[in-house]
Amino acid sequence: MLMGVLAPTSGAILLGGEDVTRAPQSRRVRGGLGRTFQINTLFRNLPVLDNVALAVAERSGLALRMWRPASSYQVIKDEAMALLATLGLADDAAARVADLPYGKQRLVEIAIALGLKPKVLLLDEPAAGVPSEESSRILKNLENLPSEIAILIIEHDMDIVFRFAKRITVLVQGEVLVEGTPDEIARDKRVHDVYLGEGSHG
Amino acid sequence: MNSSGYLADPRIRWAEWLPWVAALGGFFLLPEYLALGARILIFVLFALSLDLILGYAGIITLGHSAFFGLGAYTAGILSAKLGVHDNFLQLVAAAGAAALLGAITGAIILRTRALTLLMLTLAITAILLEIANKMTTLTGGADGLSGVVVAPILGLFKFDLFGKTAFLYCLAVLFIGWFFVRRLIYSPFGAMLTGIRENTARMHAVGAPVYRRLVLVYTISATMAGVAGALLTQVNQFVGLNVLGLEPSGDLLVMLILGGVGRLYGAFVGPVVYLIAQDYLAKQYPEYWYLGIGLLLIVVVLFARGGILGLMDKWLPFSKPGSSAKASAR
Repeated sequence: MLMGVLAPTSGAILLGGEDVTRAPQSRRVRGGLGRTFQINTLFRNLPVLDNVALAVAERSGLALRMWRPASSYQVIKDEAMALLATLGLADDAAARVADLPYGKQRLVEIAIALGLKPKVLLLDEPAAGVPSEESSRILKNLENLPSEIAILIIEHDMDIVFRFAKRITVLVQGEVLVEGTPDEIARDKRVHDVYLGEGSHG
Repeated sequence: MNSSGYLADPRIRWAEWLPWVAALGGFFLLPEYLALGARILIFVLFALSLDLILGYAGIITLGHSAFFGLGAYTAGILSAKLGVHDNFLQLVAAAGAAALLGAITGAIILRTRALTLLMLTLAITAILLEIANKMTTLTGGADGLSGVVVAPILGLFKFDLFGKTAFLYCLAVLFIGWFFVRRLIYSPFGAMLTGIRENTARMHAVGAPVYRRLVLVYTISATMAGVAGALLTQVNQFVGLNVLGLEPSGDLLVMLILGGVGRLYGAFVGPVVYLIAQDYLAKQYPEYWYLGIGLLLIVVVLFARGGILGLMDKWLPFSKPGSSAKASAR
């Protein structure tokens, strides 16, 4: 709904003060809204570099260039490579995404989103489905993200939530249960009952 | 599969000159087949236009003959009814008409996908076929439109009885078309189209206005198809109803699948194999020639999913344009 895939029944969505409730997805992304997907949504048959370069090309307005070869656009390639390097994926730039281990594919998700230079970044369970030894690498990378990006993480893993979050909104059955700082949430009785108390929900 | 993208080497490889060498060789060595040759060249251009939307952008269509036919009739009507005999003007008018139709119909139907889209494309060419059939004063209806005159090319080269001028003329136009499509495929635009084909949801999420991009590439493809149709009119000096409707669209799709979809040169190999097989089988077994084509298609679809070029990849790893990119990606 935040991305414009689903239309809200009521309320408004503001992005940096601008009402984007009715704006199509492409306008929201241009307005600075980036996202990762809970389930990898990548160009599986394309090289890792192209996955990021396509995002960079869109953001920099070069995606409609029809004459010069893509490989000659050094600006796009350099920026994509720099992003991959910060995420530790530089050596995999030429590899097909489908050939990467799942943990690295999750990082490609993040690299694509960062290629959009978002002001607001939605991370939908960034470490979902990743073995714990690989997830630490993802989390380390999340910690290193520039602090001027506002990040919204949707997550069930309470370790991740309390490690990163400055404000937490607890949703139960699609309704807001409570909103507050991590300390307030940790002390909230209702949250304990719903999430923390019953490990099976984690 | 990917002959495009940010890691692809855009230089023209030696193998990419082979079609042109073969075409010129055919011109000198097989003068009695020049009419068939010109037909093949026209369908290569037509197939290239289809590959751009089907192979790269992933738009499935059974209605590409709408643009081919509109181009053919535009050139024919200009020449036979309005006395415009300049070949270049005819091509430009056909391209313009096809582009307009592509932009308008694309804007309507590209909001849909898959089977709905397929049926809508089919409906559009079926409607055009019916219009051409009924507007006999302009199109000649079922009798076709004869009396098409084409002035000498550049004021110098008359269309001769042996089809030499026609062949070289088609070859020149195809070369320009090929060069343009090749640039397009290797450009950021081409990479973006591949992105839409590979994962549309992801392209939305990186901020690409996918629908507008599809309309744009559909219009470009329609323009090329219109030029191919106009060439057919100029070469045959006649237009018939067989340029519209399901049949030419289906034939074209079969040609491209035979050759290999989404690899640029599938559009060269497919029409060559299909039209030569058709020519040969129609002479040998005039009643059953479609059976031969059908068997050929079944074999290709079952055993060579990437078409004939896909088979060649297995045997000759250097044969395809994307081989270097793929090899380095492994």
